[in-house]
Amino acid sequence: MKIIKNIKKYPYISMIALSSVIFGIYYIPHHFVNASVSASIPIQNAPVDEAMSDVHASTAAMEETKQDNDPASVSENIVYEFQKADVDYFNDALFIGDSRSVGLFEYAGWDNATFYVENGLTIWDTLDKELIPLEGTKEKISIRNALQKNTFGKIYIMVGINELGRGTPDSYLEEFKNVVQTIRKLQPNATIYIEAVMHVTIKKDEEGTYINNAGINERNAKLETLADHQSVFYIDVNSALDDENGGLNEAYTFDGVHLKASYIGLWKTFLLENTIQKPD
Amino acid sequence: MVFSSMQFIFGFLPVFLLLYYITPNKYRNAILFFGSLIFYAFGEPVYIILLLVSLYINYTIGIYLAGINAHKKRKLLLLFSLLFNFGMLFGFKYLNFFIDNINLLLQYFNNAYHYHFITVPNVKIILPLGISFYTFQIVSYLLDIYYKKMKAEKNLLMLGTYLCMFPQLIAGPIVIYKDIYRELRHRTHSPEMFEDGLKTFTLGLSSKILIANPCGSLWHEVQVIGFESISTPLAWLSMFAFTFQIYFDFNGYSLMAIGLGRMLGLTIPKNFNQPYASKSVTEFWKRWHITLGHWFREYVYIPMGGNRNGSIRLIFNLFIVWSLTGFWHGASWNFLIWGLAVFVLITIEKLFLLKWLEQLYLLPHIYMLLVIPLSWMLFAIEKLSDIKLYFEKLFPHTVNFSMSFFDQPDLIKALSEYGLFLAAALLLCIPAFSHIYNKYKNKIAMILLLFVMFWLSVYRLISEVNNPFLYFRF
Repeated sequence: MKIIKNIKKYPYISMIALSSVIFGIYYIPHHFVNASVSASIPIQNAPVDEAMSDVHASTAAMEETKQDNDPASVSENIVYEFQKADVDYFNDALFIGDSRSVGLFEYAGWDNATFYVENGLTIWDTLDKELIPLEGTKEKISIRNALQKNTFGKIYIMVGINELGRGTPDSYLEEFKNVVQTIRKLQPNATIYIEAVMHVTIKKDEEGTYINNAGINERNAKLETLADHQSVFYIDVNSALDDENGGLNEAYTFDGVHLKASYIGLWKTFLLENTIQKPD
Repeated sequence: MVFSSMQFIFGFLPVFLLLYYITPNKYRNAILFFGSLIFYAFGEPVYIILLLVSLYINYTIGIYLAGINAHKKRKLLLLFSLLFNFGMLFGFKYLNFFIDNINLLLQYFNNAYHYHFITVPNVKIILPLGISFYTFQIVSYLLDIYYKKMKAEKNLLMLGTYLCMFPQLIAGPIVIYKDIYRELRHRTHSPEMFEDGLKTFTLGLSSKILIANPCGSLWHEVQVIGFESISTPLAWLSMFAFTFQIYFDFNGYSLMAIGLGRMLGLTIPKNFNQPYASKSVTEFWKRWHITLGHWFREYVYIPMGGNRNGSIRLIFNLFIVWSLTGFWHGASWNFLIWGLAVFVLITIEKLFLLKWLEQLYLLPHIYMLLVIPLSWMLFAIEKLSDIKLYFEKLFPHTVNFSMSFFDQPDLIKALSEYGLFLAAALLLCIPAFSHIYNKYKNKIAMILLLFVMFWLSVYRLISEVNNPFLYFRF
């Protein structure tokens, strides 16, 4: 009886104490389980084949036409060189990326291109995170879905800063490969540009967190191996943004990670100067 | 360890409170002292030695200072102690600033006049947590002994508890020893006080997490974008966002400190009293960071003669006080400029403006609505070239106030993301809200509201834990 009386007398202490205990019981075991899962590699292998069945027909059709037009391209490798293009090149381009590409989306002024970008995006949720707003509705769809509905000629992808502390360079590569293969299946004619992960500044690097250039370089080296130089290319914007110490130039950024809007132009120029022109 | 962390709320605090309350009354200061050292060690495992050395040396000086009668010797000892305390503060907080600026000066001479001065390398120093606060506290203790306002503390544990107690160790409020030593010796604990303290803590926590952090995100975002790329309306909006952030952050922290103190039976002084409702800068600074203002008044302004030696001397005294106040906030030119701007405003008010402001109703609030946020920009932006850039954004050469002026994509995006938080912040700056809280804080509806706010804050904290960066993920 005394306890009940006290609860009535001190309702706030009682409520906080009681709810904290309940919270502790539920949160702590859950929290520890979570922590151990994120250390290992996330499992998000949605049924690729199933989703693919819709597009099989059209893919086959496209391959046929391709063979008709240019039988040589199937068997022989052409040596492509990066060339300069004008903005119209991006009319049928798609950019996939995290907050850094959000900056490109918001400040590049490329209204002709398409952007599937979101803050905090990682390679593990690139395909299935629902981030693309469907016009006229409140619904959002995933990149996997969107790539079944729309066709692109060029697909750029830069994802990798958020997951630096997650997985290993090899598991990152594996997942990246999976994403590229899925995109390839869904968009067989698109030129895919794998963008090297942009460096952080030396100051950010020296903070000693997992956000550092050594980790970025290690993963970029893995990404480079994914290029087949025929339809998948690797481009490294860091050459245009680094200072003499191999970090993102301090002047270009406030937080050491994101380009200031006024320096997005450097990235734009780099993209425009490093395009692959394929004969129609 | 900050108060607004899972580690503190569900780790340190409950364990500490349990130990504190199962311990008999007379050992509770020991628990508080050692608990506070553990609290400090979480953030600063090395500099804890500095804190303890400072405590012991000042304790000894205090006893000597009280024991000596010869005027000259007392003065000498005081001088030594001030040199020691401010020397430490200078070494850790300001040394690099001075080295950098001397180097700039030398380089200028080298370039302009072909001298060959050698520049001094910078030293790598990390600022010890809370040093600005505990230095001021211990100096106030020594000065009070010197002015014979109080006796020296003979019990080292008592002085240590005062200096180190975790509710105020890291970011104030600045507690004066003569205001709290009685409570340290004999204090009462009651469930009523505990409950009240917990409520105050919740207010502070939600103020920080639910209001200050979202407002801070907008300010952070604008900095990431770069000032040169934002529209004028967004520059204005972000300036108000920072104005809210700094208030709800700092007041939130102070409320958490006061609440924690009350849970332990200690009275920690109020630090904010509806500052944004002030009608003049003079009044504002009596309501903002009250304990710091009090410290400067008590230990700098009044010993210098205050306003008793004519208006020239008054202006000089204000100049010194506000330069120091500016500099206390950080070792950088912008803080000094900010302090000087406040000095100019307060001087103008003291000379003539205040008389007018006090008679009017609406105009003073409009004046404050402009002047205070603008002064915060000097505070918030470290690089002088960026300050210039920001003011150019706020006041562009040509303004065409048509509808299209406000039709900026960046403004619309910011409003859609942060509008709700900014509106809530604006409302909560109205004094009526705190009257309502005080009137109804024991009613069940208010208790339920606090309860919801507490768990909402925790929810936000958890999502921030999963996200290693304070503001937003990449």
